[in-house]
Amino acid sequence: MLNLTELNTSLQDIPAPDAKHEDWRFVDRKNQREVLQPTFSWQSYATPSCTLQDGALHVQQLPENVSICTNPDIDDWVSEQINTGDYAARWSCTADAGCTQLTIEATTDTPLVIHHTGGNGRLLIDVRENVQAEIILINDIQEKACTGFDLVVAPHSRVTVDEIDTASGTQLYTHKTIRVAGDAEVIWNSISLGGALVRHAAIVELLNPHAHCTLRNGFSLQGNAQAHSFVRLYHRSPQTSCQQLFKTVADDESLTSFDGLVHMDEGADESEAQQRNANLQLSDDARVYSMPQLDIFTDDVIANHGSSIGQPDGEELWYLRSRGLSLKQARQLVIGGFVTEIAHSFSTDAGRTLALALLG
Amino acid sequence: MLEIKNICASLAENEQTQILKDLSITFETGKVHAIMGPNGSGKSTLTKVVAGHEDYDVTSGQILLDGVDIEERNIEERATDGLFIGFQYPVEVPGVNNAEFLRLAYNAKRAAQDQEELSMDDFMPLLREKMAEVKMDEVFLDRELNSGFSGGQKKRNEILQMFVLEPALAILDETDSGLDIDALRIVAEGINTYRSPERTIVLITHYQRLLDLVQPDAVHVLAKGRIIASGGPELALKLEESGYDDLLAETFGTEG
Repeated sequence: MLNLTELNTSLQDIPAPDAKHEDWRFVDRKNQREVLQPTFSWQSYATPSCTLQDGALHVQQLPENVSICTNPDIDDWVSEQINTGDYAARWSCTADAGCTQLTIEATTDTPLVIHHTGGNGRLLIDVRENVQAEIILINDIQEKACTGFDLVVAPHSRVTVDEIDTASGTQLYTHKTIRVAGDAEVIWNSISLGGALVRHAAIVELLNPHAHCTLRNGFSLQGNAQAHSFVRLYHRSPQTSCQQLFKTVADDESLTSFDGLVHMDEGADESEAQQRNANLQLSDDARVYSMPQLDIFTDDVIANHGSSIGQPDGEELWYLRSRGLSLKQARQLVIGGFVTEIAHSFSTDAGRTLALALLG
Repeated sequence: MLEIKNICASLAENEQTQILKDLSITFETGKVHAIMGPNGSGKSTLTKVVAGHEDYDVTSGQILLDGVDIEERNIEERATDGLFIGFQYPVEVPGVNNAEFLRLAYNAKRAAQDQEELSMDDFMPLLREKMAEVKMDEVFLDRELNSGFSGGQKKRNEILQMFVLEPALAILDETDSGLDIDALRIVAEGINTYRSPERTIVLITHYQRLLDLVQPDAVHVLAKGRIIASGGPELALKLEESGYDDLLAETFGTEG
């Protein structure tokens, strides 16, 4: 068992990652530059249930059936995370980081809106059996954040998370651990304009038969913004399924990467996995790295993955122009629509409206 | 009126592959024309060449729209000039709102006519009226353009675009393909509603079943890149009965 005091390292002193399981080669940590992003007022779209800062939760009004524990025993959680060698996980587990647990006991009638303002810490969300819950996570980071999110979903439950980075001008690291039990489903959608360094990592485990997870992510990057996705998705049991769609528009001198792995354990028969990473690279100076991967250790599964990096689709442009739109208009529509597709798939009305407004 | 005079066209990337070979045809205003022909005869190429697709080079001949040569007009200019293509496989454009796209297309036409562009509020009553005409559910307004639409819904969306843009010349490329009986009837009703003395409609089709519902004024047969026969509706009935073999043999000889 890991002792938290062993992690008593200040945020600034953490050395460059030497992770065994993560690949940070594409992330340009040395050349982060200030990113100017338009001020986005998200407050008119959503009212927070609580504010998360340094792992501490300041409650405004939680939905019914949601309870809070401010000092959970996190050693078990931490030990598992720290062993992955994940930089963000280590960061969010330092001794001075706070940790809070939310428990969702029964189906909620309103979304749980978490206003995440930064610092380093962890939030554990424990979803009990037979629960339907909606979560909106607003990353409103003015300076720096390194936050671990742990979502555990019990059997027969369904959780949707709509995540929006409304301000990420400096640094934002999130490390998500998602564990899905049998006959349960998690749908996690996210949209970001990137920042000096934005990195979202997700470790997903489909633990029992008929566990399902959908991950959809959209980055729209301009200037010298960076945004990176890191996914490890483990099928631990037979008849589990996942769908991943990660889309990025990279313009100017922006930098993005997708490092995604689907792992199917021995015995995870009749499981299905789809993984797709699609990128539009709009300028010669933008950089896009894509690493979709499949590790299959069993037979009788359906698994596919794909990656594309290119310009706006010629057939789409032709179709729009055939209706009278100029080439410039057609390009704007196709490029805008590329990531907007992700926003349209957000699960909650408020999340969808917020994401669409952010993308303009 | 659209006049196609002695057009030769090939793929831009391979000019040796000539697809349209000295093709001439005139589509008179106010008439419904049907173009039929075997697979690979050049029907879809003809559509794309008329629309100005950049994948094709017109190496000789002229295309005159109301007497004006449109060779130098690009795709969008031909569209705002009043040319509409209903596609066999309408393209899905994820993330683009259907209603917003229709408004932009409508405004492009208005801008070409030096008319003021419409806001969404001003455009919506017109759009709703047109949707009612083509019996299309308003739920499709908020959908992404053709994205996730069934084959029938895509074709109906094409007809809706035609109603909104009100082109003088509409070329509908195999608009009946992939439709079930009910969807075919709805699309055909839309075409019949749209036909008028001021408009020209060209139906490219393989089947008599569409022509049973939309009576053409003229039927043309395209084979090996040129028009090999023209006639009235009875020509389509004859082809339905006996196929293209006799006509091809008559035109191209036994090697045809």
